[in-house]
Amino acid sequence: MRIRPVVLALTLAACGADRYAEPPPPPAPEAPRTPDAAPAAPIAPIARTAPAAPPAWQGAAATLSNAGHWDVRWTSEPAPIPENEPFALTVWVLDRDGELADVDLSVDAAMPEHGHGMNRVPRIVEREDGGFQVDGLLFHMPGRWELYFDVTRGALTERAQVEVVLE
Amino acid sequence: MEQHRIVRWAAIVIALAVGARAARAAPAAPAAPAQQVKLGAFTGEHGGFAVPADAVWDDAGRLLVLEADRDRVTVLDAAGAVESVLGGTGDGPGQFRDPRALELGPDGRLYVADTGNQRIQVFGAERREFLLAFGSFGSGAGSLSSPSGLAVTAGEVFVADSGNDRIAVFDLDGRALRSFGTWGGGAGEFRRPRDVTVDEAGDVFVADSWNHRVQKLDARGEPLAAWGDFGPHPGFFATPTGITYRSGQLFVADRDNHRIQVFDTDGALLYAWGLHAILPHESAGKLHYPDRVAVRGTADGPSEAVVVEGFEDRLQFFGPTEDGAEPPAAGSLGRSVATHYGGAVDSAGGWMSLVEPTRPAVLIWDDATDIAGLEPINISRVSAWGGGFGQFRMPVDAAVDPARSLLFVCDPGNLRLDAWRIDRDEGPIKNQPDLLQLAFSIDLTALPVRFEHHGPIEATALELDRGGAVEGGVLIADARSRSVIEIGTAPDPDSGAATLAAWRRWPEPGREALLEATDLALSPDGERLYVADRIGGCVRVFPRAGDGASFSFRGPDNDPLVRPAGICVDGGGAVYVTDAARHRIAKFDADGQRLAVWGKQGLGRLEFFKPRGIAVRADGNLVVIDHGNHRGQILSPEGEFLHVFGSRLFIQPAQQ
Repeated sequence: MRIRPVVLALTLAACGADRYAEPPPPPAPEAPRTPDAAPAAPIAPIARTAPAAPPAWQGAAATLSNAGHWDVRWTSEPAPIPENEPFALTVWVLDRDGELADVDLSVDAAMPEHGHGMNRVPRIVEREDGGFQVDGLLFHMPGRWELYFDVTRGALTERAQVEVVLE
Repeated sequence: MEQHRIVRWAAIVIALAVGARAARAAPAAPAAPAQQVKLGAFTGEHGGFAVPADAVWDDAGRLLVLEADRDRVTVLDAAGAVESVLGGTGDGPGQFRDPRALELGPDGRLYVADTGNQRIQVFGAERREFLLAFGSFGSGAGSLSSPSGLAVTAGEVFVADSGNDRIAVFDLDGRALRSFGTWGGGAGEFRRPRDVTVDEAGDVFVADSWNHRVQKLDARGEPLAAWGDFGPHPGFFATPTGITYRSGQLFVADRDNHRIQVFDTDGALLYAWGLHAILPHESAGKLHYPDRVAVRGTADGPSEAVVVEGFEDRLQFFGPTEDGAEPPAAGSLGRSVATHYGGAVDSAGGWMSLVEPTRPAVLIWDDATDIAGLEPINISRVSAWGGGFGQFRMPVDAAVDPARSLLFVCDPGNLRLDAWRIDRDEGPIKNQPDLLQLAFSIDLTALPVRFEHHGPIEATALELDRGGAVEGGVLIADARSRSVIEIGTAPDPDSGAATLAAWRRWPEPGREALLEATDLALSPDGERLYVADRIGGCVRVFPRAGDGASFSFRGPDNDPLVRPAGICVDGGGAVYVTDAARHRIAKFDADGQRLAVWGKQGLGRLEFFKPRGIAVRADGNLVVIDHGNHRGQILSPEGEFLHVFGSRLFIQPAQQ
């Protein structure tokens, strides 16, 4: 398997809303997603700072969304992605500050040269660590696949994609 | 469409059999039970109409033909001669704008869906005098939005209220009784229902066009069954636009599959006919975009069908096959057929985009590499049907933003605006299937833009502010508010959210609404917005900045625009408009003074058939999508023919 992240040039610009006649108020800023509050821990007998636990996505592949606003981290099981065997993904979506983002996720795949996608629909559930578990994927033939992560917040969906070649 | 009626069918059949329509053979008389009679044997044709939209036979054997582009009903006698004409262009009593359906009630009264005027008109049974009209634009009870199909029972009028995605029911005098349906793909939901019919049991059948299916409901709107999906296979559909129940059979005009499919009332496919035309404008039973089918018959079975082909300005007639044999099989076009050069075109930054709503697909062409003179080269397309991200249901317009290397596509079938990144490989030109990558998609139902009783934006055309007056500014023609809305789409660098909150709109609320915006263009400085208003038959002009007044133009009074379809503006400010009804291009100055007009109907150079999209290329020449001829033509700004490209059979006459 060969995986090649898609390289994108980004063009970002500020809003020119001052030219509009009736600008509604801007949307409220999104609060960063935080883990569930842990129960109060007893006072440690030794005054020593414990090292921060590594994030769950440490070591995962990183893919920037096509408009540049989401950093999608993902792993596959098994790895690498096999041909004609079911596989699963674990996905985390980070914002520009590296924090877990409160977003919705869709996952799909296609073979552009062949004009078709997968012959099954993956199941996606949220994980307790803020990521997503994606089951039921299958690349049923060799060739060049594109794996799509569609990240939605509000009215806007951005796509992150990677190329997967099964030889 | 046609409602079951108890009439003296035997007399009608006899009257038809002696009808002397040109080039028409007498059909064999059916002798089999109703479900075994199969129509589909070609018996004749009748041309010369201006976008016929619907037809119905009356009890005396007359055929009433609704001509959308002439805004009238043309009545043919049993021999096919024009007996009388009803209507005319306008919004007064008895006048029409782009009417799309007609039906006769059991008492002989004539009902016409006056689509562009957003109403139903009713005419008397004998003299066809105007009796009453009901409905007005809106989404509340009794209001209509693009009514496009009718069925009339003994006591009720069922209206395919297409723009409201529902069936509206009135009594025979126009009092609103109830409605059912809303936007969606579930049971009892619709996406642009285009026609409706009712059987003897009172069950209602709907041509659910953008869901590519037929839905069966009871008279109160309770869903009973649905069948079909998008595709060319038997029992599947590609934009079904007409449905007619007659003599135990349900006839469906499967428009973009170029065939008629016939079902029983439980959805079992009985048979189909409709070989696709191969030669330009071929008839003799070959079909090309059939919109409607009207059928007459008796309890013993259907005896004759007329297929209405608005695209070809003609009717074709079909009788029963010999001894119930299968009619000429409807061919499956699949996905391999070359492009139909379907509609909107744009050119910017060395790219040309072409939208084909019927496949659905968006094609992108290299418009700059000079390896074959003026010929643009199609190197990629995106074409996946569905509701997922990166898929289309009904893409209607696209525009290239070269500064951001984005291709914007509006898809009212999914109520989305998509932006695809153009990422070309280095090196010599080649086919590149992965050229386009979905960058972002905007859910138009989630925008903070709502207008009085019109719901979410339903985009029908778009234009980009390439000059950058508004960052990421996208102008969208919205069918629901009948206006043009401008939104910003540049993602905010801090939050990552698109700047979707800002918007403005033309015309202002309370001003004369657009009737049907089919294309948009901006002046070179971005200060003026030009809108091709197809049903309005004019170009509307709005000041995008400053204090200028809005105005409209249509050309000389004795030679005006009739059905403007595409519009573009060149670097000098000249405005070019395609007129699909006149098969030509008109050139105006920036203030609407007509400077020139080119073209006529035909296949030769500078000849067109229902041209649609038009754009200015980087070299200053024009590219015109000659839609009805399945090709493109390149013209100089002075109207000189330069080049033709497209399907071989269609370009040869212009190459010689």
